[in-house]
Parts: sequence; structure tokens; C-alpha cells
Amino acid sequence: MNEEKAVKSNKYLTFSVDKEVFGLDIKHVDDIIGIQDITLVPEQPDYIKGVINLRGKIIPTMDVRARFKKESREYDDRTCIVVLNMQNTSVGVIVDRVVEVLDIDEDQIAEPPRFSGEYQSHYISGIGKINNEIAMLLDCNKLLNYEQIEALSHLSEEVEEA
Amino acid sequence: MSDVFANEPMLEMYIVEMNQMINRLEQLVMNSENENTLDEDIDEIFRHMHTIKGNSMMMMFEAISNLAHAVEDLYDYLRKEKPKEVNYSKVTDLVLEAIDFFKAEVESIESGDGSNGDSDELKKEIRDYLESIKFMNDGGAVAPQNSKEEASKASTENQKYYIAPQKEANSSNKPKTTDDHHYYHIKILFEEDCQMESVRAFSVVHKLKDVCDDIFHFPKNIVEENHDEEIRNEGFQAYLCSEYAMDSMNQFFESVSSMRSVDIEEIEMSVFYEYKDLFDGVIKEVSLPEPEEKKEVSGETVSDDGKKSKEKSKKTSNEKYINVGISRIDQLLDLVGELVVSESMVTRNTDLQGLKLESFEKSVRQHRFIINELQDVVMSIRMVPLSLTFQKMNRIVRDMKKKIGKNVELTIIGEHTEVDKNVIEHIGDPLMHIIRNSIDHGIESPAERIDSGKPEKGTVTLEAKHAGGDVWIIVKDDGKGLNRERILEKALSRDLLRKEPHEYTDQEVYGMIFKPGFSTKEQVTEFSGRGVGLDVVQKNIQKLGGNVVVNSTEGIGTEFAIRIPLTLAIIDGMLLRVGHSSFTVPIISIKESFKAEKNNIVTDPDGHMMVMVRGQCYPIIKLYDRYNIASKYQSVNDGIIIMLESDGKEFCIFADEIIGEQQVVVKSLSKFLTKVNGISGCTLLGDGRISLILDPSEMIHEI
Repeated sequence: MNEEKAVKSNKYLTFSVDKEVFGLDIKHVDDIIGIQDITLVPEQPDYIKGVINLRGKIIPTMDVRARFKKESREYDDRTCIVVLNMQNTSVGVIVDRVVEVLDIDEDQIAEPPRFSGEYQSHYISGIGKINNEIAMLLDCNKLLNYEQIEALSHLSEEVEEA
Repeated sequence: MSDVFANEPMLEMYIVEMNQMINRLEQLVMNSENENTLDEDIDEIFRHMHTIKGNSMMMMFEAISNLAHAVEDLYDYLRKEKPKEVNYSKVTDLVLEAIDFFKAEVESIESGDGSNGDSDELKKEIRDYLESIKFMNDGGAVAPQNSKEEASKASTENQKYYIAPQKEANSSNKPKTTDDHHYYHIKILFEEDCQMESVRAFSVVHKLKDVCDDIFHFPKNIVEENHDEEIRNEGFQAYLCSEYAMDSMNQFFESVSSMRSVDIEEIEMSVFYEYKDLFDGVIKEVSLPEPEEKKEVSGETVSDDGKKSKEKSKKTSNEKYINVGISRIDQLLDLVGELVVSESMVTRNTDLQGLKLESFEKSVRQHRFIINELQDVVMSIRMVPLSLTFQKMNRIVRDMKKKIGKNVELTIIGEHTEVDKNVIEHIGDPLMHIIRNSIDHGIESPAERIDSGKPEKGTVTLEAKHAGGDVWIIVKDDGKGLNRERILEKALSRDLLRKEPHEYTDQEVYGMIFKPGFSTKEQVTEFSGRGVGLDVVQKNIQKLGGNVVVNSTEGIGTEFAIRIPLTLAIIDGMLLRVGHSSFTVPIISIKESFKAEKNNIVTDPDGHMMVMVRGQCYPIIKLYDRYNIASKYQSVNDGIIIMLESDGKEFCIFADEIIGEQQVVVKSLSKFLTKVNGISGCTLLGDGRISLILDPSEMIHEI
């Protein structure tokens, strides 16, 4: 645990969805590519849009808007797929637009409020202050894996519909 | 022990070698039991045991090395004394037990737990048995002990115990036949400044001639030529054939003066003669065959040189091998797969459409040819003959024979058939279960067999062969066959029947024995009857993309035919389009495709659509509906119906259109995605798009 803290990079890739800015720890970011053809895979949770072919590798992609239960929006030429790599699994994350890569000092990162009720934030590992703006730093692990149960329940619903 | 694990590559080598030797040993030992003699293979068995002992000692796995030592003693005795009263079956039992111990230990070492087994009991058993055969063969006299090798290695009390009677043995043993000769390799180093090494060496040789029947030495002409320098630096080496045992040799050399050190090693007769040939032959220059000797003598590496005369065990050809991690080969395979795809991306590039490119086309053909070749070669790297897996079955048959008292013989045909490494890993268990099943349920007891006019000895045939793109593995027994009525009864009692019993075809009935928990055997034995085994069989084989068919004739026998596709990575697929999605169906499972007439389509009250073809009714899965894809082709008249076959059952799927046939490289879908029933993976198309691969054997369960 300590070791992880010591090597924890404080570079973040920020992207925006609607008005909000989110940050991803750069060490999990493999690649940023423009939006491309997504092959539909049936029976997935609604935020999984399908798979893409990234130089011969087949990578599942998730739409962050759908993941955060925001209204969907047409993809345009600013839409990007950020390819994250967690424990050797690559996953593409579709975001409205990528903003920049930033250094955020650790003392500029505030703990997210801890609520247990409705306010509980599922994906946020911290809140970073950049000049006058703030960016919500996402916990990649949770972004990708949080609530597998949720995914499963989605699936069973879909199966029942089908 | 920690320093052992610091030495990873060595440990890896050790494990690889151990596994090879253990397998070989198992084969040899069982072979010797069958022929009730050890003449053929004893040297090889002995050598392997010796190597296991040496290697394990080096790696400080004492439990293994001690046990190997005990077994070595046993074989040493058998080899040297050739006792007449030996129950080879008992020997085999013991040795197999030891081999099982090695296996378990190696497995544990491999998994990082180190060697933690305790071999003492087994070791004691083997020693006791050795004592008992000595006693029996010598009629109660003091057991002559002949393990000369012990003398030099004597370090533990155990070993000393064995040296004691040995001296008597030498006096009581009449050294008559050639079998009583011992072969030694000696290496003498004289004292640093003693001078006249050649002369000293000659005097040693001269003295040795009194006690040896045959002797030759390197350097060769120590009388005519001066080899002082050489002997000083490299030592003087000689090969002896003598009636005297190791300790007498030691005594002899104690009397040699000005000697710094002497190494005496007992060697195989064959090794002796090999060097003798070298000595007698062309090799005039005194190049010492040092490095090779080292190997032979120390038993570090098992080189087969010394045994060329033994044709049978010499199948281990001179081909050179390197061990390559399977992950690297998989990587190579992946890359070749990519290459296949990118090749068609280039050659079918849309930019080239409509252009007349004669010379380009020619190059493309050449290019494709090479890629196909490359693909074949890479695939062949992964191919492994089934022989090892088949040999292991021998062991199972043997163990069962002993335990349940049936007389069974295993005949193996086509063991050199090669299959994908992946198949090898998964086929062992199913085969074992089927064979156990055949012996336990199929083959009758000897009495029953004689009553029904069959030979007393039952036969189980294990056969492998290639047919088209598949490998067939067939297990056949000449037992009593499956009893249709009994299976149906059982199925009825377990509420597995869906239609009237007489409506089931034989195939369907026999297929029921693969259902979990299904056993018609009244008695559960150690080997079978719990109804678990055959269930595993089907699961494992389906995992490999294959299937099992059972054929049986009552009173004549049963046949299990396993079909497995040759390779799993590349398949011939038919490309289908549904809306904007494309699907690939393995061509092997396509029966036919057709446009349906409206009046042949029926829809039942539950909304299930069916089609009548030649008087038969088949269910239809509409892909757009099943996988929720927007498609304009909603009516069966617009699209196309493809009939698929899986596990002997037929059904239809409905797609928009058929695009064409293509070889595709199967890729798995990311674990991140939820598993979709009916979709086994995906593949890249020539234009870079992704197509999902349909798996008929999964889809069939939805109907």
C-alpha cells in the first residue's frame, strides 16, 4: 500500500462530459483515439456500446455518459475513446472530449465527501483543484468494475425481455 | 531451501527434465512388467533413476533423491544378480508408487510449495522388499550385496549398512560370466612436481593389467611418446574392465605412489566399449573426450549414446529440441493470425478496386502462398503427438486390472497422431474416464466372458486418426455393450425422458449416459459408478469444440468416438449479415441454406417459428430478434434461413443475407464483457470490422 503511494503519479488526463471535468490517472491510460466504428455486442449493460478494433486488438468500449446515467448525445468529431488498461484488460471509454494532461499535486486533492446514502459517490477517488476549476478524479478500477452485480442484473433483465 | 528458489531457471529445467524422465520411466516400468523381464530396459530405468537422484540431490530435494536411491538399489540388485525368483508385478507396484511420489513432489515444486512429501515409508518398503528378494534368492545365506556404486558414495548410515555384507559377497561370488565384470573409468592426477608422468602412468597400467581383463587409456602411446605435459595438466585417464569391485579398486589405487588424486567411477559396459572403439579406431591424436565423459560418468545428463544397440528403446531420435514457453508460441500464432487478416486488408483494399493489376495479382498469390505456409508451420509447432497421453492410459488399465480382477488388454493404434497442445491438455481426463468406464462397466468378468464364448481376455482399443479437419479418438471395448432398456429405465426414474421411450433413437439413448449423476451400475466402486465421469467427458470435449458419439451393440461391445477439430484458432466460417452486424458461423456446422416459402413456415401459439423442410419441422432462431438488432429484414421471406447441426440436432437461424466464406482467426471476447449465450468469440474481417462468431452448440440449448 505504502509502495503504491510512493509511486503514485500525479499526472492526470482530464476530459469533459457536459460541463463537468473528470480526471483519470495517466498510468492507466494506454491510448486516446477518435471515435470509430463500434461493433454491437448483444446482451450487455447499456453503457457497454460494443467492441472496437484497435490495431488488431479487440477492445470493449463503454460510454461514460451512459455509465453516469446522463442523457446520450450524438458522437461528433470531438468525441474520443480513451483506452484504459487495468490489470491487463483494455477497455475503451467514450468521452465527450479530452481536455488536457495536468499535474495535480497531492495536496491539491481533496477527499471526496463520504456519504453512505444517495450521495455516495461511486466512482470518485478525489477532487482535484486546478487553478480555479475542479476536476473529479475517477477511480479507474471502480469505473470499470464497480457493481458487477448491477451489470448482471441488467443482463438478466435483458434476457427476460428477449 | 530458499537458495534453491533463487535459482529459477535451474528449477525450471529440473522440473522439465523430471517430468520427461518420470513419463519415460512409467512407460519402461510397465513395459517390463508386461514382458515379465527387465533385460531390455533395466539399464535405461536405472539410468533415469540415477539421474533423478542426482538432479534432486543437486536441487536439495532430499525426499526425492533418497527414494530414487532406494529404487536404484533395487534395480541395481536385479541388474547385477539377475535373481530368478522375482515377482516383477510387485516390483512394478513399488516402483510405480515411487513414481507417483515423484509426480506429486514435482507438482508441488512446480506450484511453488517445494518438496514437502515424506518418502521414508515407501523407501523402507522398497528396502525391505529388496532384502526379501535377496533372502529368497540366496536361500537364507548372507545376502550377497553387489551394489558397488554404494561404496564410493557411502555417506549415510543407511548406505553403510549395505556395504557391510558386500565384502563377503565378493568372496562368495564366483566371478565367472561376463556379467560379473565391472567397468570403470579412472582419472589420475599425479603430484604437481613428480616428473616423468608418462612413465608413472605406464607403471600404473602395467600393474592394473594384473587385476583387469581389459584396459585402455588416454593419452594412448605413453611408452613411445612423451605425454608428460598433458598428463600433468589433464590427468591420465583409463578405462578398465575388471572382476573386482569398487572397494578393491580403491585399495589398489591406494598403493600407487606420487598420486595426487584418483577418481574412480563405475560405468556401463556399453560406455566402456564405446570408448574402446574410440581408442582402437581412427582417433590417433590424443583429444580427450572429456566433456562428454563428464556427462556420462556423473549421470547429469542422459545421453543415449551408450545404448545404440538397444533398438527398441531408441526411438528417442537425434533430433535436437529446445524448450520454448507456450506463451511465446501463442504470441507467434496470434501474429500470424494478424498477418492473415492484414494480408486481406491490403490485397482487397478498396483503393485497388476496379484497377487492372496483373503483376500485383501475381505477387499477391505468391504472398498468400507464403502466408499459408507460415500458418501451417506455426500450427504444427503446437502439434504434439498423442503418444504420451495414450501411454498414460496403460497405467490406468494396469491399476484397474489389479484392483478389480478383470483381464483386460489395452491396444493402442495411431498414437503418433498429432493434435493441438491445447487438446492434449484436455483430452487426458475424458479418455481416462471412458477407459475406466469401459473396463469397469463394459468388460465382463473372465467367467462371464467364457460363458458367452468370448476370449477370456477383454480388449480395449484406443485409436486415434485424422479425418478431414478433425481428429478422431476412438475407445472401443469388446464387452457386454450398453443396455438400452436399462438406460431408459434409469432415465425414466430420473425424469429425463421428454417423449415416449420407443421414440428415442439408439444414439439418443446412449447419449444419456453423459448426463450428470447417471449410472446404471448398482455398485459404486473406486473407479466408477458415481455417474460423475462421463459427465466430465462431454463437458471437456465440448470445451475443445468437439463431440462424442456412442455406438454399442449388446453383447459385442461399445465404441466411444470423440471428434475434435484439429485446431481451435482458425476456422472456416460463413459470414452472415444481420442489420449492421455481421456474424460468422463455423462452416462445419452448416447443413444447408435456403429461402423459405411462406406456407412452409408455422408459428406456434408461443410465438416460436418453425419451418418445414422435406416433411421435417425445425425451429428457427431469428438472429435480429434473439440479439436485438435493428434490421429491415423482419419477414422470413426477405432474408435467408441457414440450417445448422450440432450434437446431432438440427435447427435453423434466420439472417438478412449470406456474405461469403472466409477463414477467420478466432479471438476471444474480453472478459470485461458479459458472456453472451450463443456467441463464442469474435474475429476481424478483411476490412477491419469485427464479426461475432456464433456457436451452434450453445445456441441449441436455447431451443
